[in-house]
Amino acid sequence: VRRHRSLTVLIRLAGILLATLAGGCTGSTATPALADATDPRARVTVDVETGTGQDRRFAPASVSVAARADVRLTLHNRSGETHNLSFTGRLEHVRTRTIIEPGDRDTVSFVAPDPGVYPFVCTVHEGMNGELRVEAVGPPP
Amino acid sequence: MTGNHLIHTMWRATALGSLAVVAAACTALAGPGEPDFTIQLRTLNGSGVSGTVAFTYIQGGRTRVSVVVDPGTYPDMPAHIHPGTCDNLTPQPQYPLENVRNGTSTTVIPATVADLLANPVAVNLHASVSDLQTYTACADIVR
Repeated sequence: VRRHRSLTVLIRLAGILLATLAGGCTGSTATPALADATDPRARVTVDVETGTGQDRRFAPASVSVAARADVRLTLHNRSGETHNLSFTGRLEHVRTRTIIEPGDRDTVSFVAPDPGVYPFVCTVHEGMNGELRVEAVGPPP
Repeated sequence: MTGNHLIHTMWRATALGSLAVVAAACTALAGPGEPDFTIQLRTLNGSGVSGTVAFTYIQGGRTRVSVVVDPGTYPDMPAHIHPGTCDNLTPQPQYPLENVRNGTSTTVIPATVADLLANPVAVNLHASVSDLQTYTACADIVR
């Protein structure tokens, strides 16, 4: 009976380990550095990085998506300083965490608004600017 | 009740009791505590923003910085700790703080109170994310 119980415990532990590994693997997805989406039905992933070292800039500083696209925007802080990405104006409610430590990243999700140019800034570093260009979508072919 | 049931129940009670003790200990450690000192913010540019900044030492060489203000017409103000003084501020922040939303902000920074007092530094608040150039309030960090 004791051997049977030990075997059962081992099988359960193995199951938990496998489930944990599977969950961790599905969480990591490769994303392009810049997505220029034209399909509003597509889920668009946009990566913005900071410069390395003390280079206070977004890279790329301009990204484009289609109007009404479902956007996931990630800021990856590759520098040695704290940064964030905060939209100004009509998209001001869209922002990453205020304090993203070096090496860390944060993702925000939102639906792209009407066509136009939507600036974003780092509120820690005045003059560190970027823009989201929302493009009009033509009628389907 | 069989012997197995009794043992099972005792184990459960022990586990729940342990969890309660750990939760109580964590709450005590993470509690706000009394601030080490508090400074008064000075209203700038006719903003009407006034209030205080409290500094509380927490474990691990860190400090909790709590801003409480009457925000006036500024519901969402970026805030930083800058080197220098309010009258002569270095533009580059030393420690960013969480935005002051609806009058409050709490941030844990990786510095002790002694670190903050070692050189002139100041807390300043900005009008909004869209208007970082306009300062609404400032306070030199001095005891």
